[in-house]
This record gives sequence, structure tokens and C-alpha cells, in this order.
Amino acid sequence: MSFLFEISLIVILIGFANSSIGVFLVLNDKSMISFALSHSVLLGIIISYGIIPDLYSPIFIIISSIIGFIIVGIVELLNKVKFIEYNSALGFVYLTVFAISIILISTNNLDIYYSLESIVSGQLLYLPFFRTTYLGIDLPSIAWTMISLIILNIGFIILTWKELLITSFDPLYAQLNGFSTQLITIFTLLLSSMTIVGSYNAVGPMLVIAFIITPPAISFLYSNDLKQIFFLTFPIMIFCSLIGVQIAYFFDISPAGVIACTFGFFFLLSLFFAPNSNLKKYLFSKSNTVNMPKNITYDHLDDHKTTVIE
Amino acid sequence: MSNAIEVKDLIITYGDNNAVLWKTNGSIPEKSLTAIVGPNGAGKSTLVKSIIGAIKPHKGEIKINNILIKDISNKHQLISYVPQRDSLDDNFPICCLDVVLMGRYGKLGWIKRPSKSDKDAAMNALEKFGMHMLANKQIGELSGGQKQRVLLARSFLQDSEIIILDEPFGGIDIKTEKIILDLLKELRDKGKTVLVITHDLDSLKDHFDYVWLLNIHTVAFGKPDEVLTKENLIHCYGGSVHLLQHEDN
Amino acid sequence: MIYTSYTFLVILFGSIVIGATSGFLSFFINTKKESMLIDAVAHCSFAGIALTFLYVNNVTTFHLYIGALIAAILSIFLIYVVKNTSIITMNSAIGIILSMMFGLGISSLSIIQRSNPMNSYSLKHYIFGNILYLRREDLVLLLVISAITFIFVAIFWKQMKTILFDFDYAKSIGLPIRYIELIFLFLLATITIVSVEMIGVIMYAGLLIGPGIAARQITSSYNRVIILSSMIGALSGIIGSTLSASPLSPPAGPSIIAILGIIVILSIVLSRNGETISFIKSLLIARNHNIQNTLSHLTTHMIMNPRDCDIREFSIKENQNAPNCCNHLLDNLHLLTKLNYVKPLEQNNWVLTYKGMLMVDELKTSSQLEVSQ
Repeated sequence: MSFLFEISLIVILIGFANSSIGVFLVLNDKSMISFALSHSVLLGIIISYGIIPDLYSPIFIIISSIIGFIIVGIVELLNKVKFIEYNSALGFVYLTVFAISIILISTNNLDIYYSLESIVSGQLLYLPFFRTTYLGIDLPSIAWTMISLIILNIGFIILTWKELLITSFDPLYAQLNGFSTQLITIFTLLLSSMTIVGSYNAVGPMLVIAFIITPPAISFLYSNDLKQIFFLTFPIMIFCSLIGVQIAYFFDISPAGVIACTFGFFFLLSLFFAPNSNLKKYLFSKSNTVNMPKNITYDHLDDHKTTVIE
Repeated sequence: MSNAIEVKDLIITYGDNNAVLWKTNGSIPEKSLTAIVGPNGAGKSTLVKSIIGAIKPHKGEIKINNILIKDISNKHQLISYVPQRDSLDDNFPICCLDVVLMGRYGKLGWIKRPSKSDKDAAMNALEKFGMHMLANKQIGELSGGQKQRVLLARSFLQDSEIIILDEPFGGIDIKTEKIILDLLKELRDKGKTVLVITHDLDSLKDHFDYVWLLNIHTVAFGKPDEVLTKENLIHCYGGSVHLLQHEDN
Repeated sequence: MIYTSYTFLVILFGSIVIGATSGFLSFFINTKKESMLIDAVAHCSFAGIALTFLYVNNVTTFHLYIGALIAAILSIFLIYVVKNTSIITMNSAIGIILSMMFGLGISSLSIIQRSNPMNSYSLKHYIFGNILYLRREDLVLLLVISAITFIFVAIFWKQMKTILFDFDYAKSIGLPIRYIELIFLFLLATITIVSVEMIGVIMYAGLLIGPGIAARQITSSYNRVIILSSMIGALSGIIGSTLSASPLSPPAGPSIIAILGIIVILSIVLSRNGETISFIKSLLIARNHNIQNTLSHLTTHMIMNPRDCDIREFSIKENQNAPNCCNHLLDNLHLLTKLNYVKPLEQNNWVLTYKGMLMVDELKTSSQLEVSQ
């Protein structure tokens, strides 16, 4: 397998793992929490690396992600302190934790990262050199990590599809019917945390956000049905990723940044062309009717249709 | 006749500030149609949310069919809640059929998936409310009255003993209001207990069995004739309500 | 000794100015809940800086400033366009644009690393900040922009207070809200761009969030919060840059933010306005004044539910027999308000809080007190 092929494979696997759980983070407006999570797991990675210096060990991933998850949980605590806004608490916690992590890394010469910058941009191009053979197949270790995470994430989503649906749409009704919104949220965030930890070495904290948020967001612009949105995310992600990898290869640029940029570019393009976006109307209509809902059927029109309830 | 819902000395407060409900009492008989009425800020929504178990009271107890709420394991069989239709997220990518289908989720429990018969039942519920043509429409595309009917269909599908409706008559024309009221009476006749939060005082006498006049505590509870006296209404609304004299009052 | 060198003094001065100005704006940003937006602006300006390094040959501070400003304004614009023309929420819009622009910046860095190593060395400093990076002309630009920011906020002190806390009133008296907000945003973008040179794009938002949180824990006065958060920003700058210049040599941005983090935590735990202290305070006051007696004395003068629509309300009846007793009553009412047993409404009307009602209830049952209806 060529180098380019392996890089593409890694990117697509990372995309599958992150975008799948990302659909539900975008749905529930938890993008900022995933941003905070992506910064907080660095501290988890540092601590966990001290215990188990193996980036691909499941225990390493689990410990790192739990630490990251706890840090974000601290924000919930801080939210109860008077005079602190949720957004500010979130920003404060993740930035402080990230700052402490960077200080620890820079003063202790951790051997995970080539340089401080590579924390931020990821070390995707070095990853095919670390390999694991499993079931007779020799792949970059990160590919195996991602495959496990994909199975976990998609398994969780398929298993709890209706729970995810009802807790996202109507938490009160969900609780009445015996479904705990809190439990679903905790599991979603834990899985995101693990996926972020697994992708960290490849793409870094900023760009993993591109994988989590942007393909689902593009998908939301094209469909009104959650099932369709979920399935559509993957071809969108694959398409954008492959283009991104090709551009990076052609111009010899580090791929993570290019891919994130490609995702964003196609998002903006979709903003213009996709059905669920009002941008065209905004630009080309004389009157500003942008804030009107999509198709209004007024109540009185109803009277002419069947309204008989026996 | 036993009481479907019993509320005793309920005290609820948000944070350490003002009490939203103070020593509220009420007993709703089963198989009845009761209206909860009161001014804004009276705590009607809070009362209802504590009955369904979403808000924990600071003091007092709530019993459903003589069992304390916290001891109830199959809440979905006992109670259903039809929220205000403005509380729906219009942008959520879900169609009407799937919303109604949620009425079966409680019965299915965790992990289990809705079967074809569940989906058919949801479709039938939509038909009963005249909404089957719009089954695949995303809920944001519906009018207010249509959304209300979808939510009603959901609770109807749930088929619980008690149904609680939170202001179903807001901003609806008289014809639709009559249709909904007829439906509620039909449910009551079938043996359900129906509880409705409403602001519309005029309809109370003709349609409801009981009225619960609420303003932080229970001002009065009973049959509409007994409860809707001038004195009670002034206690409840603070002298700011003007009664139009009907011929028979 | 590095700490007495001229370079370090310049750096120290720079970090004080950056800290003070950022802290100054911090309160506004927290109150307007724009913390995440500003974080996005800081990250996105990296793209502008990187592209400037890529396309401009002899890069000066001015070039970088313009490049970063264009990127910052473009990203704010894009975020609002996304939010307003689709169902994508503000937070998601921020995430999308931020990751895209930052990706653009990282890609540019990758190109520059090959074509122009000098520039890439400079560019990398913008990620986490560099303590030694403040040159003389940068300091001048920094001072000018800080001065303009301080002057602007000082001139519009009252107006900004009104816009923050009473938006409808501000609209009704015809304040030029749009203009003030735009200028504020512009100044914010500007101070961000000149500060990320020293603090780095990733960490800078912390200086715009933390000082406001810490100051708010310590005081409730509008004037004092803003000045205090400015001082806290400056203090973090001083200690942080000292730490960064030490032999351990962690990068500047994270050092300053880490110190700020400690200050924020300390302020939450120790402050006079914060939860812990007010709780202890209430225990002490409760011990010194017998709340039960105060409240029971009060109930003999209370008329419950005077407007007949809210059982929590009461008013004070005029007692002809003991005219000097009313002052004493007012003092009691103030004390009870502080301890959250009552709250004032308009005129002579007060309302019992949950705590208050509980206590009155207790008194009624334990001693058969009469409270007139």
C-alpha cells in the first residue's frame, strides 16, 4: 500500500469515528463542549502517558478520555458558582488546563511530540511508521485504534438510536418515558472524548473539531431527516477528505490543515447551494424575508382539509 | 371514586429565591376532566412538571393512584404530557410520524426498536387527528394547530391513564378549540383522567368537570359553579379580572 | 541577570499593557457572552498572519496587523452569515469557521516552512506566544492601541453600562448602539491581533475571559470590577512573563494563562463576594442576631397579601402607638434582605423568599403567632 493510500485511509477512518458521534454533538449544540474536550484531553494524555507510555493502548485511551471528561465536568460545577457564565466557565477551564499541559510538555521534554507546534497541527505524516499487525493485517497502529472506535461509536448510535432521538428532541418527554437524558449525554461525551484522544496525535485539537462538526453540519444543510443526515455525513466526509489529501499531496503541504480547510470550503459552498440554507434568498431577494419559517400552512387553510376527528 | 392525582402541601422553589408553589393541595378524581387556571407566574407549569416528576419538590408529596411518584416504575403507563407547542424545536430534523411514534418508546424501553405494528399504530393516531397527509413533513413546516395535533396524537398513542396538557388552547381558533375539547371529553368518557392548563375562563363551565384555581397555593378546587365565584377569582387574579356577566350567572 | 536587562523590562512593560487592556475588556466580553466568539477571532487571525508571511516579502508589524485584521473581520462576518442563513447554531458556526481558518493557517505554515525558514520561525511564535518577541515598534503600536481602547471605554463608560444591563432602555433613549458595538468589536480585534504576538493565538482568549471572572467574584460594583479585572490581567502578565523568562522557559502565553487560572481559582474560593465567604458571613450574622426574634417581631407589623394576589407578599402597617419603632423595622428588613429572607418590591411592599416563608411558618406553628390577614 502506498504512503498516500495509507494517509487517505487513516484520514477516512478518523473521519468515520469523529463525524458519526459529531452528528449528535451538532444536533444538541454541544460543539463548544467538544472544543473544550479537545483541549482538556491533552492533560489526560500527559498524565496517562506517565502511567502507560503507549499511545495506542486501550487503557491509555480510556484513562486520558476519562480525565478529559472529568475536566469538562468541572465546568458544570463552576456553573453553579454565582456570577459565572457557562460560556466563560467553559472557556476559562479549557484554556487554563491547556496552558498547564503546554507548560508541562515544554518543561519536561515529552517524547510524544516533535515540537510544540506539532501538538497543534498533528503529526499525521509520521503515523504510518508506527504499525501493528492484527489478524494477519499490517496497518498503521492508529488505523486499528480508529477501527475500534468506529465500532464503538456506530454500535452505540445504532443501539440507542431512539434514545438519542427522544432525549435530543424532547428531554422532558424522554424523562417521563423513563429515558435519562443525562446518561445519554454522558455516554456521548465519553465516546467523543475517546475518539478525540485517538485522533489527537494525527490531527491535533483544533483540526479534530473540523472532523467532528463540519461534515455533520454540511449534512444538516441537505436533509430534514436525521437518519438521512447521519448516513449522508459519511460520503460528504470521504469526498472532502480525499480532495483535501490530494491537494496536500500535490502541493506538498501538511495534510491536517488542508483537510480542515477543505471541509470548511465545502461547507461554505453548501451554504450557497444546499436546500436548507437561506443564503441565496438573503442575497437575491429585495425584501428581507429571511427570518420566515420554511413552509407556512396557516390554520385557516386547514379548515378546507379534513379536520374530522371521530 | 378514588383520586388519580393527589398533591399534598407541595412546596417548590427555584434556587433560594421565591417559592413558586407554597403548600399547594389538590386531589383530582379519576376519570375526570379538570382545568388548572391561574394568572401568569401562578406556578401552573411548575405544578404539572412536578406531577410528571420532572421537578422535585422541596417539601410535600405527590401521589398518583395512591403511589408516591418516586416509587412509580412505569410512569409512561400512568402519565402523558402534552407540552406547549412553542416548546418544540422547529429546526429539529424529524417528521410528524416519528414524533408520534415516540408515544410508544416508553412501552418499548431501552434499546428495543419500534416494530411495523408500532409504526402502523402511530399512523393510525395521526389519522385520528387528521394529520396523516402530513406524516412525512418535518415538524417545522407545520402550523401551530397542526403541531398541537401531532403532540396530542403522540400522547394518544401512549395511551396512559392520565393525560396532562399544557396550554393547548393558546392562539387557536374557536373551531379547533372545540375539536380538541370534544376529544378530551371523549378521552374522559373512555376512563382517562385529563388535566388541562388553560387561560380561557369562558369555556370552563360548559366543558370541565372540575376547576383548580391556582395562585402559588390552591385558591379553590371543585366544580366550576362552586369555584368560579367573584370572590375566588379576585383572590386568585388580584382584582384585575373583569367578569362579563352571562345570562345564567 | 536576565531580569534586569533592557529586553526584559520592555517585555514586562508589554505584558502589563496587554494584561491590563485585555482584563479591562474582559468584563464586557463575559457579560455579553462573547467569550467563544473572541476565541474564534484570535484563532482565525492566525490565518491572516500566516498568509501575510506567505505573500509579503519584507514583513513588518504593520503588514501583519492588516493581514490579521482582515482575517478577524472576515471570520466574524462568516460566523454571523452562517448563523443567520441556516439552522446551524452560533457555537457550531464558530467551530466550523475556526477550524477552517486555523487549518488555513497551519497549511500556510507548512508551505512557509519550506520556502522561507526565517518567516516560519517567526510565524510559529504566534501559536503559543514568545516572550522575547516584543520589539520596539510593536510596543509602540501596543501602547497606542491600548490607549485608544482605554480612552474609548472611558468616554463611553456610562453608555456601555446601560447597553450591557438595560438594553431596552438604551434603545429607547436613542443610544447609537450599533456604532458603539462595532467600534468595541474593532478595538477588540485590534488588541487581539497585537497581543497574540506575545501570548499566542491559542491562549489569548484566556486573558479576555479570566480577569472578568476573578474580578466579579471579588466585587459587585461596576466601576470596581472593570478596574480590578484590568489589574488582575496586568498581574498575570507580570508573573507570567517572569515565569517565562526563567530558566524553565515555558512559552509566554501558557505561563500567563496558567497564573491567571490560579488567580481565578483563588478569587472564587477566597473572595468576599463569592459563595464560600458569603455563606460563612451569613452563619456569623445569624449567630450574632437572633433571626427568629427579628422575624417574629416583624410579623406583628406585617399585613400579608395586601394586594390579594400573592400570598408571599406583605406590607408594613403603620403602628400609631410606637412611631419610633418603624426605623427599627426598616433596619430589620434590610438585615433580612441581606440574609435573603425578604426581598423589596415597590413602595411599601415586600416579598418573603422561600427561606423567609419557611421561617414564618415555623414561628406560626411553634408559638401560635398572629399575622394579620
